[in-house]
Amino acid sequence: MRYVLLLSALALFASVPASTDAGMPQPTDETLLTVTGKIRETNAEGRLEFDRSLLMQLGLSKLTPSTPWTDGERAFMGVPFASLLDAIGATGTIVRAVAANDYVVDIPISNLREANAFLAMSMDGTQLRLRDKGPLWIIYPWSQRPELNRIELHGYAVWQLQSLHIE
Amino acid sequence: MKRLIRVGYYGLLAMALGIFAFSIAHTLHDIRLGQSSVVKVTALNYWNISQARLELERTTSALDSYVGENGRVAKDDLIDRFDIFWSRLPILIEGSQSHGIVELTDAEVIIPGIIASMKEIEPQILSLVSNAGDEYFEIRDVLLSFAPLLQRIYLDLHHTSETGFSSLTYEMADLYARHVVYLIGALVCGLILILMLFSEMHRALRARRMAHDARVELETVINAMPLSIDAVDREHRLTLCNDYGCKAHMIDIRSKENQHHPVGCPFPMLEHLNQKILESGEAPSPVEVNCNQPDTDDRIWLVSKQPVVDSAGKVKKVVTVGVDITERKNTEAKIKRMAQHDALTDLPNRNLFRRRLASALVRANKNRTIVAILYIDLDSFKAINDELGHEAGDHFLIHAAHLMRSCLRPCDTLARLGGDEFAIIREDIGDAHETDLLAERIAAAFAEPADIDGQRWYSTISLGISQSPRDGTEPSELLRHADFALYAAKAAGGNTWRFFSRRMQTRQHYQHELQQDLRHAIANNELTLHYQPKVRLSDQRLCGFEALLRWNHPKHGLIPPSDFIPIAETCDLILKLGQFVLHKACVQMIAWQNEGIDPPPIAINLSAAQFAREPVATMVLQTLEETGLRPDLLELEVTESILLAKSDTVLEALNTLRALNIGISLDDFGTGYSSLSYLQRFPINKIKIDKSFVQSISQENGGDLAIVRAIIAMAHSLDMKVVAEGVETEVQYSTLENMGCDEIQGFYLSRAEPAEQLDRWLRFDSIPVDTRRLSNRRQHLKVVSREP
Repeated sequence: MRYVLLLSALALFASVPASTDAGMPQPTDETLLTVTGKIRETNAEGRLEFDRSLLMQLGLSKLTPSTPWTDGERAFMGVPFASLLDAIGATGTIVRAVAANDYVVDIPISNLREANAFLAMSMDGTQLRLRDKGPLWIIYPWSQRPELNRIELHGYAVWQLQSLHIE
Repeated sequence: MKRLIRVGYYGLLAMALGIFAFSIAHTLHDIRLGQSSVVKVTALNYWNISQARLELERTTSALDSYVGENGRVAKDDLIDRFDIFWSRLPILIEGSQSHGIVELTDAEVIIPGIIASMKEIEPQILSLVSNAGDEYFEIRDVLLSFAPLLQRIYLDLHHTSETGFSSLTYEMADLYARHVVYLIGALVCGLILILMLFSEMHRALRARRMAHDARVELETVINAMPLSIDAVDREHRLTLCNDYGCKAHMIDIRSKENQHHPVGCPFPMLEHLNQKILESGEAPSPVEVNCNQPDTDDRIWLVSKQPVVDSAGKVKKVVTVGVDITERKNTEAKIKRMAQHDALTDLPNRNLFRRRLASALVRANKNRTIVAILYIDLDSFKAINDELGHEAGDHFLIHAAHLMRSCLRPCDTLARLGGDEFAIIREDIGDAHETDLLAERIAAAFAEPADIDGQRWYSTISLGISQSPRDGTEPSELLRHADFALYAAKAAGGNTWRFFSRRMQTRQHYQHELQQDLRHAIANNELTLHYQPKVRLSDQRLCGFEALLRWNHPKHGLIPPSDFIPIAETCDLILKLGQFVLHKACVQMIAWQNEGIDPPPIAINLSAAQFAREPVATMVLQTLEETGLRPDLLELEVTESILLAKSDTVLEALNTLRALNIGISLDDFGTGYSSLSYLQRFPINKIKIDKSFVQSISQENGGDLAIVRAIIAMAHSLDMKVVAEGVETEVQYSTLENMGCDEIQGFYLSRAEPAEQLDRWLRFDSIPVDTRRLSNRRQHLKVVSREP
């Protein structure tokens, strides 16, 4: 009897880390990004939820492109998409991005990686708000790689990003 | 003209190219412009405006729901909507995506206004409660006021883009049209290029055809030339051989071309020259080579070689040209042979003979041997030629050459010097006896009759022989001496040979001298007539004289006619002499008449040569007329040989003379070739028995006695008188008298004497004979009556 209790307690303990998984803690703040689909990590039921701090834990870096929707070059801080994809263990080929204004687009993961897509969180030191096309904006290094500045690719630069679904 | 066309061509081409390039540039430029204008207005502009209008609607709807439908929409959601709408505003005026809107609408003015308004109502929205009243309407009005503004931007964009679009379409159409024009330009340019290409092709074809034609022509010429032409390259491969060369050297060019040539190089013996020429680039002088092909005759070629140099100056090939000079060489050899050989008999001619003689003498001199020259003359060649014709004569000459050749060794030279004269050179003679044997052998070869044109002819030969060093060491000397010897052989009657002796030379010199002197003898009064009396046996009275010519040569003294008459007969001198004798005799007769003497007829000898050379009858009659002598006091003595040649003319002449009662005597009867029929034909009235018959009387040769008797009998039966010549003895005299001979003449009576010494014959009627001879005849001497 005592052994059964111990075993179930162990199992409970064991499951707890399983539900939290390897380094993917649960968001403490407001969820900015929800990732579903073929991913390795989850921290909620079948999905991965990121708040700002979680995203920042993935490693911030800076990108200073000029964008087709702004004038001049702006300094963006954010997470390289490749880091995000690695962190979440994405195994699919397509990322379905959904934005707050119901905009949906399917981005090939190969594009995100190869074009060095960037998940911007702040611009010129100011956190991106909804009205500034935040809180999350997929941008590309258009200044550094002008060949990416094609109208047909502009659709991938999803702002007001809310969720990603990996297929 | 052609140049003008060319210039036009190039001008057109340049123009077309220019248009083409310009069209391309312009088109590209236009396209870019068009592109940028398209870029200017893209679907994204419409999207952004639409999205802005949509979010406005959603915001307005969210507001209505928040306030109107209590709590159905969360405030957060309303704020979110508000923010989302807000976010769509800067897009319309910032960034590259806004270009179309900014340029074509008043967005740059309107949007900041809207953003300013948004900023104003933001705190109101944030503090809005769900059951708000007036704030709700305020906010709503403001929001609603945004709609027409956005609408305006939208419409402006639409209209402008419409016109822009249409202008773009127009531009595109225009661009299209221009593009077409420029494409046409390009097409024209292309066509011109193609035309030029064709023209060039055509020209190239023509040039190639002309080159081909020229090459064919050249090949034809090379093949047509009767020369052997071939070429070898640096690797000694045969690259060219013309038809003539291939045929002549039996090369099959198709199989041998571009291969090495173990068999079939035209002139293999000259191959080594090719290498030299390839290295040095110099052409050697032409070479004569002898090419022996296995099945055909040898042919001689004149071969010359030339290097073929390419544009860089390097020797690429060697061309060999060969001319077949075999014919020429043969002809040359033939001419050479003809120059030195007799055409008919193919024996060496005089030229070659002299040359060989010279070299033979040199050899003989060195080896101390004897060289003999035999001159050969065919005795009856003239007769054969006259009788049977020249063709027969030629056959006979060839036959004679064969006969002579058969008696000689191969090293002996037999030459034909001309006409019927041949000559032999024999070397390495030990002694004269050898030569003698040779001459005998040759003469014997001619003993057999020759069969000429079905007739058998006997022809004998005469040979004259001289030998070196005895008879001379120089060719001309030896030849002259052989000639003398031949002359002597002929003078001896032919069919014999004579070795040269000094005497011959002397004799011929003598004869030649005589001939020369004879010409002047008449003028120099060296000639005199002597007269030999003839006595009639019946009454022993003088019945005539024979006039005999005597020559008193200043150097040689008295020369008998037997020596100089033959000489005169060989040339025209005989005529002069004959006329002289006749004239002088007639003059003498007249002189005697003028002295009161009644001379008996005078007999003159006529030579056959005279009859041959002049109209004798005319000459005689003329002389009689000139001198005034009665014709019946003239007797003409002719020899039998006269009657042989040209009998008609002679007959006529004699008839003419006889008709005038001039006596015709046949002299030396019995010694010649005459036939008895002549006696009837010709008007002869006296026959003179040759002294050889008379002399044989005292020798008591029975046969000859009979002949003499027969002659006398025959003559008498023909009513002719008979005179015996050369009576020297009493026995002859009496025998002839017994036989009935009519007249006698001879030393028994008297020699021939000059006119002055004939007094005793003429003035006295008796015969002044020598008492020793005619001892018991004296008493029989009678006074000579005048009647004959």
